Amino acid sequence: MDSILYFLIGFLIMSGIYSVFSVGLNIHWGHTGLFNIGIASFFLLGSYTAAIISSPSPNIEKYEEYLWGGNLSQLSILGIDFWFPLVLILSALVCILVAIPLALITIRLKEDYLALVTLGLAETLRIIFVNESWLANGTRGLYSIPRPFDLIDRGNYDYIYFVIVMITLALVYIIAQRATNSPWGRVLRGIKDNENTMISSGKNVLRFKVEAFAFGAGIMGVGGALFTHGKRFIDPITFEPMLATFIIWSMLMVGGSGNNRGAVFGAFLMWGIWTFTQFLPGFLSDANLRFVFVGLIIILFQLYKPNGVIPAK
Amino acid sequence: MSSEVLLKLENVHKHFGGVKAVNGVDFEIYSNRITGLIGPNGAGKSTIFNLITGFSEIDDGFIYFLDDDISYSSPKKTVDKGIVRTFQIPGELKTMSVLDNLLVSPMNHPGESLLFGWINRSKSKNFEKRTIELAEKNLEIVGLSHLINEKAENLSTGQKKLLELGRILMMNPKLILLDEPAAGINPTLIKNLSKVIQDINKNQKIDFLIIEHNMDFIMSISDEIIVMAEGQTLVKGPPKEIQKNQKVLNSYLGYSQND
Repeated sequence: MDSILYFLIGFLIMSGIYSVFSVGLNIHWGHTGLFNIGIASFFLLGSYTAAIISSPSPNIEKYEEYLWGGNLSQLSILGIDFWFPLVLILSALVCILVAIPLALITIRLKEDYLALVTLGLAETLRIIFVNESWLANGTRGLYSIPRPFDLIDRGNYDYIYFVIVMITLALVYIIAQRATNSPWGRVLRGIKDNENTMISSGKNVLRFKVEAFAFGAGIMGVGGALFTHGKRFIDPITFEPMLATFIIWSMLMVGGSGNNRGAVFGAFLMWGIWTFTQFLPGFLSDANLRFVFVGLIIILFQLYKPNGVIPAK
Repeated sequence: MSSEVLLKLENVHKHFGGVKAVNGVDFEIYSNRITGLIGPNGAGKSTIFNLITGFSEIDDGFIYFLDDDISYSSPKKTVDKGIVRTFQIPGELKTMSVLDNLLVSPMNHPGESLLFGWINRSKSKNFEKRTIELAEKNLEIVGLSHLINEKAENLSTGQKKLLELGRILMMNPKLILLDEPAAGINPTLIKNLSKVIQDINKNQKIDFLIIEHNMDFIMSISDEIIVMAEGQTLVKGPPKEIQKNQKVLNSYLGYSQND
């Protein structure tokens, strides 16, 4: 019984982390209409930033070429792990700093080309981390990433991490909700509906798009950092497009693009389908077939409920 | 009513490759008037709108608005100066409500900043309150008050054109450029639209430059008509003279126009 509960907590942790990505993508696609199919780039940057700055300086025996390690996890003020919020903020910041120049260069492109550039960036970053071992230990990956708020025994630690994920998700959700319900968010929806109208209303459309791209990327960076400290092991394979980009798209499409609540709901639903299909009997639980189930659900939703479970208002 | 030169075009050129879409256009329009811009298809009327509003860049010549040179102004700058426009195809924001369509239009909303919107909340709220009052007033002017919470995509084409007018009024314009406002809407709504345009012109002292193919509509509403053909200004004058002008009739012959 306990092990089932523990499994469920693990499931909720992952769903919560994916919800963060889904809310970030919702800023890009659902609210502004920016076709980003390279979520993996910000997932990767957030994850590696968190891992590198929080891990202890590398041990020559454990890592061969990997050089650094911010050792931020040693920082604790009054015995409280304040380093963890700092890691979340820094991971978001790295993503924002990458997103702004990328957006300035590419956002003038029509949406299909933006899709190509973002997809290309995600693959490029992943291949860089495969080949440049000094950066983050290459294909062997980074492991033993520190646990934040490591207060109880290791066997029950996930309960704590569950609370951390849910608090972070709530904060991200509130920030996203307030931003998108503000007049600023209203301009984004205007841009999505009709860019020319917004230009003729005298709006600096480029500025709004860059801001939205950076904002969504920052949220994805937080998601990446949460993922790192949850899994405590990352390597370049983690950021292959299937589980780092496309499943997040399925979450937003099914949950309800343009609605932050829909984005969160979709993340729990689709991660549930991905997780629980592994218990299907026989060949049905094959990983490739599980992706087919995800695809099937996308198709069914596009046919019968194209606006998702909780559509935009 | 005194009239001054509001907008002045001097020898304006715009070429697309070998096509001389606008080939040396000169005209001025005066304040306190509704001016019609007519001409056969391909005469360069919409291109003139794009050049005035900065949507495409002028190749040669000058455009002055109230004596300011706006030849190379960006769309944002021309809006700042008080020139706003519509497109041939209504540019309503489909998934947003009629009210939101209007609320999103005014410029310099303090809440439209990702960073400072959090800090300036009270300032933003006050601005929002005033904007809502203005929007309700403008919806009354264009006669869409009963549809205030309707999604814009559910309106008829005629209502969408009225919505565009309402949206534009939010921007505090001096000159409104309308691109074929009467196209694709039924005769009753056309009458309604004429009345709204004339009321705005009289009561709010906002001037209009209107491209239109519907001759009954444009002749009845305009104080002055400018006729363009093949990228140049042909003639200019009050509607009654234009209707009799042989040059105008000739320019329309050979085109499949019913007018």
